[in-house]
Amino acid sequence: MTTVIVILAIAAVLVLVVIGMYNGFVAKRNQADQAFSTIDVMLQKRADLIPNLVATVRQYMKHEEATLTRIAQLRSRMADTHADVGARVQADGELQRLLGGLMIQVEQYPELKSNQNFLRLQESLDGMEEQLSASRRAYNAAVTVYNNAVQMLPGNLLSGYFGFRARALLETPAEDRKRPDVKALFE
Amino acid sequence: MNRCNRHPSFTAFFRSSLMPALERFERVRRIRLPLLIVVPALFALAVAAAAWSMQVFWLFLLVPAGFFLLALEETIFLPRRRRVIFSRDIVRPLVAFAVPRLASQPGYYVGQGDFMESELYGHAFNRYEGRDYFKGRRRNYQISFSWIKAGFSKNGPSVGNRPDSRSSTVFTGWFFVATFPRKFVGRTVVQRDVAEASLGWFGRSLQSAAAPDGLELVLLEDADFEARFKILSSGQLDARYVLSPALMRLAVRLDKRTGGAMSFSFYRSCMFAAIPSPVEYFTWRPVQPFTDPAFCRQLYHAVRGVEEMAQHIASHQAAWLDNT
Repeated sequence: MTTVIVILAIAAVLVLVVIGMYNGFVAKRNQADQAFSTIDVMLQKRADLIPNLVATVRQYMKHEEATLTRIAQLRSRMADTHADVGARVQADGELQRLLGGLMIQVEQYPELKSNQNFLRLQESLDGMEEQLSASRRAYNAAVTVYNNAVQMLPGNLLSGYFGFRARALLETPAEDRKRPDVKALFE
Repeated sequence: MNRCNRHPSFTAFFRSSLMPALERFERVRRIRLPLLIVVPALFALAVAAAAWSMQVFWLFLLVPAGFFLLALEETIFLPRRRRVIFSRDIVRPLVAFAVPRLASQPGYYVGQGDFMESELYGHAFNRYEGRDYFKGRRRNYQISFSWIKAGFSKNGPSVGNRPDSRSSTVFTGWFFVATFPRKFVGRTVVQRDVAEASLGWFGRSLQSAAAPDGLELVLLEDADFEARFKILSSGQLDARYVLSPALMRLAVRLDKRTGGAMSFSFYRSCMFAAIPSPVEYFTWRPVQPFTDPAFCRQLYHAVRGVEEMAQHIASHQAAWLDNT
């Protein structure tokens, strides 16, 4: 009888441990999902700013029509909520690069630089970029916590069984990691 | 290598502008030090003589009277006067050198409301005083700071033969307030990381469990920053909005330069920063020279560092509520 009680007690403790670990995985995964959804919302908000920006810029930058059209296309792709998350993130990367290039081109258009509407849009866009950067950091922190739980002992003994897989971090695109050529900027 | 060599501009300013004033204090100290030794010695001699023969009774009266007056002057009148001179000749030029165009109001100090709102030292204090208030408007924010001393003292009913009186210092040091025209997202409090530094993961768990209502423990990516500070914020994202990688680097540099005890917070439209010192910044030390630049260097770096942080935040778009 005593043996049965001991075995039942051990089994109950094991079940509680497994439940605790499972709930821990779910909580950490939800935190990562929530952090990602924040990025998604911000991408959407930034995409909403772009039509106004393009409309304002188009009045002055007649020679950048191809770039502006491409920005509008990418914005449409990002606004498509049915699109694959990976495709949207990829579109965001390209959009970010094109917008960066556009802001450098703006230096050649003094009238545009002094346009109040453009300045306000530029400030909003800068704020959005910085908040996106903060959201990516929050997402990566949440994913790191989740990955640690999934990949480290004793979590890795159960995570595979329950279908919890490690997630990829959001990394800076290779183009952004290149050291900027300061000399070229002054030429 | 002399540490001053790392800050050539500060060193040059210290030697040319502050050193003469400090040397004046030093000269007074050197004159008064022998007096403080000779007068008590004469007093002891007089007591001995009086004990041996009543003929030197007049000396017995004269010397203690002189000693009493000297002690009174040293402990009550002179410290206040010297402190005023120190503020005028050292603190004010030093702050003007670190950050120009700040108005000085020596008799004023940062309000108790701001100190409490910072949430850096709780509300458990009933003594609050300060001096050397500086205030100035920059391009798009306002900065003010002063020396602050906050403490707690209690005089309760006696327990048995022993009176129940307690006294403790909550904060002594420089307290800064930078006020911006926009509001921060949520509240973020950055304090010394004591528990995690001494107890590891268990300490971190304690910090997480003991977080005040509405705040949660945030772990940031900068290892150096994380090792020095514990971050409590209204949200994981709120903390990251304001604590950008560049701001974390500025905070770590400031903390290293000011003795590694600073803490700061962000709430509503204000950034609060507290840089403590173990002792009063001006105390008359009869046996220690005045020409040590440590205090001046700490104040210089504190003012410069907080100004740099405020400048960074003012140009940092993510931190503001109306951008979210």
